[in-house]
Formats: sequence, structure tokens, C-alpha cells
Amino acid sequence: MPSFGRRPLKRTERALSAGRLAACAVMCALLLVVQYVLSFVPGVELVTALLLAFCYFFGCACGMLTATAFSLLRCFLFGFEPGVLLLYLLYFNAFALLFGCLGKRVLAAWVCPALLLVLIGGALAVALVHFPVSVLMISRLRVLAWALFGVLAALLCADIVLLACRRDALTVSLAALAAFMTVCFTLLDDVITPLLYGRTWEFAFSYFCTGFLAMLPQTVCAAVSVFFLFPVLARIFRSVRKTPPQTLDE
Amino acid sequence: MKGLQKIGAAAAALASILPFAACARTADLGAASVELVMNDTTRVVLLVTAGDAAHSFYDALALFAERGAIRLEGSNSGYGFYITSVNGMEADENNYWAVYTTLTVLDGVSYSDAAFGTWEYGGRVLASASYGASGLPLAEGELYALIWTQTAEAD
Repeated sequence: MPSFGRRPLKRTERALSAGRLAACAVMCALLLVVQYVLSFVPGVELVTALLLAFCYFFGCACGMLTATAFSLLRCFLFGFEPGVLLLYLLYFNAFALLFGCLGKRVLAAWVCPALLLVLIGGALAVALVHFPVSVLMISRLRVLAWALFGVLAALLCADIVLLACRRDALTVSLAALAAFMTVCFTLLDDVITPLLYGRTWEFAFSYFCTGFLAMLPQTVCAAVSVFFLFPVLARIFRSVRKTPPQTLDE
Repeated sequence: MKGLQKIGAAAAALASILPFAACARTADLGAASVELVMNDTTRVVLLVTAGDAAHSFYDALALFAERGAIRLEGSNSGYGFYITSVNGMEADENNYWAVYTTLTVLDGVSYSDAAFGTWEYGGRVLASASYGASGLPLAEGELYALIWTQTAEAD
């Protein structure tokens, strides 16, 4: 068989490539189904938890491939909106890169508490500061902000306790990172949408303020779903992968 | 004689129904009073004769829908009720239901912006709402409208 100057792929390498592609395809389909089914429930999503675990165990390449395919294919279900497509492509590829790299590295102990403190500060600010939003939405906004504050404070306490007991705080750290990335998703949308549609600063500020109504429940959902689902998904992906993550992207 | 009796009975029946028909076009929501001033397959317009910031445009629409004055369909979202069909006209890729109001600013919060579109009714200009029907409080003297609108791509 001609090699064209490159050595032929070993049988195991070809099998891994096909296996990786199959895993990406299945995960992409799962993400589409989960997003479509839960699209009828406001503020609830499991895409973050599923994609996070997948990227963590299968690496950056598989994660980014799945993220890109998911971002493009979801348009057939939810419509082709240039702003949304751009947002998903940018965000989920960055998401896959972050959590894919985390699978090969140990997260520093100070990262999780620092992130949680920043998010807690943000939630408190939203709960206490008067935002120029509709009078009919203010009470709901404050309730959501306090709910987020409660969840983040619980995560921070859990992290401190685990660190003090010298136990592995990986799940708590990933939940905190997932919450942080969910906030980044909304903030990225707050930049992309006004820019893409040529809106004024007043519109951009109003869009930023009303965006909290979606951001807050999504952040709570991301943190809680990752905290509870990651250990379960970790067992599943470990058994599916069968090899350590360090070898998959070589 | 029998013909006169029949006419009299019909007139009496009509007279007894008319007050109820008038009531179907007005509704009370808490401290608010709302009047349905226009209602057809492409336009629904409400006038608030007494305001109550605790109730929304959607609350008034839902009350009229409950009474059978209008037909309303949609789904709940994170931003409130998303209206997809009014009086049998369902939104699709070429058309949607746009919300307009004369309410501009209330307690320092902007509720509409003429830069995104306007619609005229009774000599008054309604601007494109910055919120959905669930986010617009009922302010006295203001008009609120659902207008069947073509999307930009359909033009």
C-alpha cells in the first residue's frame, strides 16, 4: 500500500479515529435532542453538563468538533439567525477548548473560590441594585438573583469544606466554571446582538438589563446540573473511552 | 298582531343581550380598567381607562380571551408569554404579531422606542414596544396594540 512519504496508520489508530468520530456524532445528536426537548421549559438546559463532561474526557478536538456540529445543526430545529449562530460557534468552541484542556491539567485550588466570589458579588449586585427594567420584572429578577446567590454560596461552602478536608473538589470546581461560562454566554450575546444589528447604546444597555432574566436561571441550572450530573457522566464516559484522555488527542 | 309580538320579543331579546356585549369590550383587572377598542384578524387594540402597574398588557389580553372576545395562543418563556396566534392568525416565517404602545417612559424605564417602528391609531402614534406583552404595565390613558406584521425577509 503506497505511503506517499507518511507511515500507514496503525490499526488501533484507525479504530480510535472512527471511535472518536462516532462518539462526537452520538454526543451531537444527544445535545440536539436534549436542547429541543427542554426548549419548552424556560431556564432549564442540560447541554452545558453533557458537553462539559464530554470535553473533559474526550479532549479538545472531539469537543470542538461536537460543539461546531451542534451549533450548525441546531439551526435546522430553531431557525437560522446569524447572531445566534455566531454566538454558539464562538461560545461552544471556547467552552470545548477550556474543558478539553482541563482534562489534562489539575485545576489550582484557588480558582474555584475566586470564581465563586466574583459570581456571588455579581448576583448580590443584581439583587440589590435598581435595574432600569420593567416594573413587572423587577421582583422576578430579584428572586432569581437571590436564588443564584444561594446556589453559589452553597458551592463555595462545599468547596471550602472539601479543601479543608483535603478531598477532591473537582465536581465543585467544574460546577463553578460552568456557572462562570454561562454568565459569559449571556455577556457575549449582549455584545454580539447589538453590534450585529447596528443598535444604539440605549438598546444595548436595555438588552443587557433584560438579559439577566435568562442568565440567572440558566446559571443556576448549569451549576446545579453539573454538580449532580458530572459524577454520573464521568462513570459513563470513562467506560466508553477505555483509554486515558492524554492519549486521545495525540 | 302576531308579527308585532314577534318583533317586540326580538327587540326585547336584543336589548337584554346588548349590555353583555358592551361588557365583553371592557374589563377590570385589579385597579385597572381596560377597553377593547379594536379587534379583528390583524389588529387588537386596548385602551387603558384606569391604570394599574401591577398588571400587564398580557393579563388584559388573557382576560378578554377568557371571556371569548379574542382568541390567544402562545407559550411561556423566560421573558414572559410569547404570543404566536391571535384570532386564528398564527405567526410563521413571513409574519408575526408585533407589540406597539403609546407608553414611552414610566418611572424612568423606557417601554417603547419609535426608532424600531410606529403604528397610528385614532390620531395617536404607537411605538414598537421594548418588552413583550407580559412586560408592559397598564398605564392610564395609554394604548396597547397587537399588529399582524410582515417580517423584513418577506417584504
